Amino acid sequence: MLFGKKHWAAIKIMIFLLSLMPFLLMVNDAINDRLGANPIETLHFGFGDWTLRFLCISLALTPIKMVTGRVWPMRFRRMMGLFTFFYASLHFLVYILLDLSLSWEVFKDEVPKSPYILMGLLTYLLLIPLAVTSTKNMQKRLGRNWLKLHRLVYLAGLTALLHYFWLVKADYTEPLIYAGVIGILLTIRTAVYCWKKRFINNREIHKKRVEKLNISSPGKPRFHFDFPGGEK
Amino acid sequence: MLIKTKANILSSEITDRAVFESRREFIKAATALSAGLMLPSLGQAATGKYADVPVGPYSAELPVTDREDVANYTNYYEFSSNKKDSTVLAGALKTKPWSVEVAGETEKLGVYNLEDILKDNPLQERIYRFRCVEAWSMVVPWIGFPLGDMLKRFKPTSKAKFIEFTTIYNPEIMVGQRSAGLDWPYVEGLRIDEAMHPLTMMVTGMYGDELPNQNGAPLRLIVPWKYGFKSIKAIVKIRFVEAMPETAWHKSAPNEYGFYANVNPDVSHPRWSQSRERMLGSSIFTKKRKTEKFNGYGAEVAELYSGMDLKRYF
Repeated sequence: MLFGKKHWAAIKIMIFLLSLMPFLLMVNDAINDRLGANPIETLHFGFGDWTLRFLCISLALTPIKMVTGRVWPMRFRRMMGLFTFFYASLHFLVYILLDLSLSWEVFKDEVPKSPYILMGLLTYLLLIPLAVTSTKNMQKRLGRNWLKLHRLVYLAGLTALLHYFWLVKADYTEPLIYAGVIGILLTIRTAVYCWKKRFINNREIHKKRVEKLNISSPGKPRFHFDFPGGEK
Repeated sequence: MLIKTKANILSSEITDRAVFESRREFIKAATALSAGLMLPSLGQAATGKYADVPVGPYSAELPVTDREDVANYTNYYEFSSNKKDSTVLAGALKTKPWSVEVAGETEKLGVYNLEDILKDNPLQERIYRFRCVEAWSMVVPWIGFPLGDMLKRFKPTSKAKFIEFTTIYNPEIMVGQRSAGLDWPYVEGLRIDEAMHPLTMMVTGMYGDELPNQNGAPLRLIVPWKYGFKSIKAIVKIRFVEAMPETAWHKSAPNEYGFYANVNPDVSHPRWSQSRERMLGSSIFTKKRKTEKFNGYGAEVAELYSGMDLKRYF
C-alpha cells in the first residue's frame, strides 16, 4: 500500500473538513444575509441537495471497491454515511424548526397534504437506525444482521429519489441525474452479486459432480479465480 | 364608482405613509448621491423611467418587498426552471422593438407597437400582493394600466367570451423552450369578465422603472387574485376567443393547475397545502403568512364566481 497509517489519518481529516464545507459555506451565507429572497428555501434545498450527493458518494464506495479491487474506499464508508445523515438532519431540522416554525398546527396541516413530505420523513426515519448502528461496536454486536440492516440504505435511496421526483412541477432534469447515478451504482452491485452467485453455484455443481463420480480427491473447480475485491 | 382599498389589512402591516415616503426620499437622495459620485446606481427605483407615474386605484398600502428579491427570484421556465438561472438568462431577450398581435373575435385585428399601446393607456402604479402556486408571496409596486381599458379599444365582438394570451416563442434565446416540460409557447387565458375587471392589469414596469426581463418585460399580465402562473410574461399575442383556451400549466397537469387558479387556502394543490405562504425577503425566523382567499381581493372579485364550486373549478 502506498500510504501508511498516519497518511490515512491525515487524508481522513481532510475529507472530513471538505465534507463539512457545504455546511460552513451555508452558515457563512446565512450570517452575511446572502441566502437570497427565500432564505429558508435556500437552506432547505441546499441541505437536501447535499444529502443526495453524499448518499451517492456513500453508495459509490462499494462498487468502486468491486470494480478496482482496492479496499481503500471502505475506509470512508462510515464517514460518508454519517455525512449523509448529517445533511439529512439539517434538511429535516430546517423544515421543522424554520419552515414550520416548530408549529404542530402547521405540521398537521401541511404534512398529510403532501405525499413528497411524507416520503421525505420516511427516508429520514430509514436513515436513523443506520446512523445509530454505525459504530464499530454496534457492527460487532449485530454481526451478520448489521449487513442486512444496512441494506436499508438502498430503500432510503429509492424513497429519497421518490421524494424529489414528487415535488417537481415540470422539469425533472435534476432528479433524473440523481436517479441515473444511483441506478448505475445499484446495477453494478446487482451485476457483481449475480456474477458471484453464479460462480458459487458453478462451484457447488462441480463439487456434486465430483462426488457422484466417487473420486476421492475433490480436485480443483473448473473456474477458479479471485474476484476483484474478494468474496467478503 | 366607489373605489375602496382592502379593509382587512392588519394595521401592523401598513407602513406609515410618512415612513414610506421618507424612505423613497432617502432612496432618491442616495441614488442622486451615488450617481453624482459616478458609482453604480443601486436605488434606480426612485429615479427610473416611471418614477413619476401616479398611484392608481386599488393600490394597497402595504410594505413592499425589496426590489432585489423580486428581481432575483423568478419563475420563467422559458429560460430555466431554476429561479436564479432564469434571472440571468432572461437578460438576453431583446424587448425593443416589441409588438403585440391582436387576433380573434375583434373588430380591430392587427399588430400593434407596444409604444403605441402605451401612448393610448396612461400608466399608473399599483401595489399588489402576488401569490405563487408554490406557496411564496410578495408585494410589488407594478407600473401598468387596466387590461380592460385596452381590450375595450380593440372592440371585441359578442362572440369574445375568453381572452387567450401567448408568450413570445424564441428557443434561440429562450433556452428552456428547447426542452419539454411545458408545451411551448406559454399560453394563458382569462374569462372576459375577469379580463375586464378593473383589478386586472397589463404591466410594463415595477418599482418606478421598466420591468427587468426576468419579471416579464416588456409586457405582462397581473391578476392579483390568481396564482402567479396566470400572470403570463412577455406577451406577443392577445386573442379574443369563444371557447375556454387550453393553458400551459393546465395542459401539463390538468388535475393540479386549473384554468381559474384563484388563490384559495381551502383548496390545496394535490401535492402541497395552500393554506400558508412564505413572504419573500422575510427572515428565517419569520412565520409563514396565512393565505387569504382570492389573495385578499375577495371583496372585489368574489362575485365573479358566485354560484361556482371553487373546489371543482380550481
